[in-house]
Amino acid sequence: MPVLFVLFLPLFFPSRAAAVQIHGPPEGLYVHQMAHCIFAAAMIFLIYLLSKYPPGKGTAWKYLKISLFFFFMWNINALIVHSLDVRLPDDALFKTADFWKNRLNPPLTLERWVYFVTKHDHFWCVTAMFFLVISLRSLCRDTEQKLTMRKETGKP
Amino acid sequence: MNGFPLLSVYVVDFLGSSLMIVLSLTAFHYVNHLRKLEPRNVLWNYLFWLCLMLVTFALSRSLGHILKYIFIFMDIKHLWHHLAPFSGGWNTMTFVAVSALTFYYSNVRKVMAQVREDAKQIASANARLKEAHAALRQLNLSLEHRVEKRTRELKRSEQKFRRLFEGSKDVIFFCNAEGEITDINDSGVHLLGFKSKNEVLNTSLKEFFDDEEDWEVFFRNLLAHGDISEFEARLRRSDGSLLYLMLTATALKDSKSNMVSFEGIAKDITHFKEVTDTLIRSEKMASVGQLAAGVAHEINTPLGIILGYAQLMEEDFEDDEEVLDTLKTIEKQAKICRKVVADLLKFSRQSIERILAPIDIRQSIEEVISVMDHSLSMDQIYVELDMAKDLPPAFGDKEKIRQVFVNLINNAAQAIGKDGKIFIGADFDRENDMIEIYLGDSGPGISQDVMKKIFDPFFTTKGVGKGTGLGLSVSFGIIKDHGGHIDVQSPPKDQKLLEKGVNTVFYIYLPPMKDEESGQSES
Ligand SMILES: Nc1ncnc2c1ncn2[C@@H]1O[C@H](COP(=O)(O)OP(=O)(O)O)[C@@H](O)[C@H]1O
Repeated sequence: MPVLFVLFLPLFFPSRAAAVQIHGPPEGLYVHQMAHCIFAAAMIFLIYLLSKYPPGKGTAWKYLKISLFFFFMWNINALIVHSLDVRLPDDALFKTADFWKNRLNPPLTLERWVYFVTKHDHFWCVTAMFFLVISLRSLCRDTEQKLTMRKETGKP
Repeated sequence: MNGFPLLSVYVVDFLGSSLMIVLSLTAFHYVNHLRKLEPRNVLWNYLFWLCLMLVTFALSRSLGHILKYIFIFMDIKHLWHHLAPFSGGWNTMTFVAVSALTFYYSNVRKVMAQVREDAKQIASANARLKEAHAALRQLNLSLEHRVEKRTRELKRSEQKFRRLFEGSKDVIFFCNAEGEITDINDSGVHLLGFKSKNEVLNTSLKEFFDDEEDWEVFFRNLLAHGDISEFEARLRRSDGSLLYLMLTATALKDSKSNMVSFEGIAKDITHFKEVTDTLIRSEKMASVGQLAAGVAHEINTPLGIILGYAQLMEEDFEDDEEVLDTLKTIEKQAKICRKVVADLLKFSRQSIERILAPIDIRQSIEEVISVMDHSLSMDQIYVELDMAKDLPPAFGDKEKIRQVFVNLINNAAQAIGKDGKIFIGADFDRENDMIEIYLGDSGPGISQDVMKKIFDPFFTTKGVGKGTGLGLSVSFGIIKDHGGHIDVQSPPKDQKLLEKGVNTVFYIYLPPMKDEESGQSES
C-alpha cells in the first residue's frame, strides 16, 4: 500500500495549498488521503486473508469479499476525486449563487470527465454496503440454522 | 450557460447517503443479531466491531453530506464551512479505525487458528480419552465376567474335589513337613477312632504308627523319592486296637526341593489282612498236614516195632538194672515219638476215624477239667467256670473238641507256670447263632510278634521236649473243621476279664447243632 500512496503523492504535491476548499489546510487533506490509502490497503489485505484462510464456507463470505472489494474501489475512487478536487483549476467549476445550478466548465478534458464520473462515488460505497448487508444476513441465517440443528441433535 | 451540469452528482450524493444510512443500520442490526446468537464467537465479535466502524463511518459521512445539502437548502452555507472540517476529520478517523481493525484481523485469525488447533487437539485428546475410557470399561466388564466365570469354575472344581475328599471311603490326608496332619477326611477321622476332625488335626501321623520303624521307612522314602506307594503299615486307633493301612503319598517340594508338605491316600486293609492271614495259615496247615500224614504213617510202623521190641526186651532183662534203664529210656523216647506222630496224624485230620454226634460243651469242659484238675492244683492253678445252663449242643467229633480244650488248658497252665487262675466260660450268642467259649489265664500274655505266629504249625516258644508247636495249629484245624473259628486277644478287650487279671484269652466259636444233623450220627 505504500506503493499506492507514493503513486498518488505527486498528484497533490504540486497543487496550490491556498486553493483547497473542502478540507481546509493541506495537512487535513493529506491525512484524509493517507487514511483512504490505508483503508484501501486494509480492504485488499482482508480480501487476501479471507481467500487464503477462509473462515467458513458459503455465499456469505463471497458477498463479504465482494463488499470489501467495492469498499476498496470506493477508496481508490475517493482518492482520485480528492486529488482532482485539488488539481482542477478554480475556474473548472462554474459556481453560481444557486448551488444546484453549478456546472463543470469547458474545455471538457479527460481530467474533467474523470472528475465528473468519479464524483458519483456512491455507486461504489452503496454497493459495498449492500453486499455487506446481504453477507451479514446470510451469516445470520447460517448461524441460526446451525444452532437449531445443534439443539435438535442435542450435540454440544 | 456553458459547461456540464453537476446536478446528477448532487442527486446521487444525496440519495446515496440516505441509502447508506438505511443499509448501514440494517448491517448493524444483522451483525448485532449475529453477535447475540453466539456471543462467544470471536469471528462474530470481530465482524461486529468492523461493521460498527464501517457503520459509524457511513453514518457520519452520509449524515455530513445530507446536512450539507440541508444547510445549502436552508441557505446557511457558511455553517457548513464550519462543520465541514469536523465531518472530514471524523471521517478520516473512522477510515483509520476500519483499517486498524482490518489489519488486526490477521492477529484475530491467528488466535482463532490457534484456538481451533487447540480445540482440535483437545477434542482428539478427548476422543482418545473416551476411547480409552470405553476400552477400560469394556476391559473392566469383561474382567468382571471372567472373574465371575473363573470363580464359578473354581467353585465347581472345589466342590467336585471336596465331594471326593469327604465322600471317599479311603482315608485322604494332608500333612505338613513335620508330618502333622493338617487336614483329613471323615473316613480318616472315623478310621482312626475319633469323632471329630479337630481331635486329629495337628497330631503327627507318626503317633498313629504302631511300629516306629514303619514310620521311619515311610517318611524316609517320602523324603528321598518324593512319593511312596502301597506302603503297608500297622497303625493304632485311639482305643488302642490295630489297623492295617496301605499308604500312598506324594510330597510337595519347594524350588530348593525341600519337602513342604505331603498328602496321600490310605486304604484300610485290616479285614483283607485278616482274611489273607487266615488263608495263608490254612494253606500252610493243609500242606504241612499232608506232609505230616505221610511221614506219620511211615514212622508209625517202625516206631511200633521199636516200642514192641523194647518192651519185650524189658521183660528179658528184668534183672539187669543197667540194661533195663536203657531199655526204659528207649521205650519212653519211643512213646514221645509216638505222641508226636499221633499229634501229627491228628493234625492231618485223616488219621483217626471220625465219630459225629451231638456234643454237650458244658459236659465236655467239665470232664476235661476233672481229669486235669489234679495236676493243675499241684501247681496252685485254679479254674473258675462260668457257663450258661441253656447252651445248645454242638455237633461233631466229641474227642477232638475235647482235645482242643486240653490243648488250650495245657497252654494256659504252661504260661502261668505256678500260682494262677484259669477262667473258662461259655454262652450262646443268639445274634450270631454261635456258641462262644472263652478260656483266659493270668499268665504273662502274648507279645505282638509271637501273636502273629502262634497258630503256625511247629511254632513254639517252649524248650525242646516241652512243646511241639502243634497244639494251637491242631486246635485251629479242628475248630475250623467244625465250622467254627478261634480267636485270641492279649490283652483281652473284655473289661471284666481284664479286671480279673486275665492277660490272654482264647475264644472258640462253634455253631450249634442244626435240626437236620440231629438224625445223622455216622462213624
Ligand atoms: N495261654 C498262653 N499264654 C502265653 N502263650 C501262649 C499261650 N498259649 C499259647 N502260647 C504260645 O503259643 C505257642 C504255640 O503254642 P502251641 O501251638 O500250643 O504249641 P506248644 O504249646 O507246643 O508250644 C506257645 O509256644 C506259646 O508261646
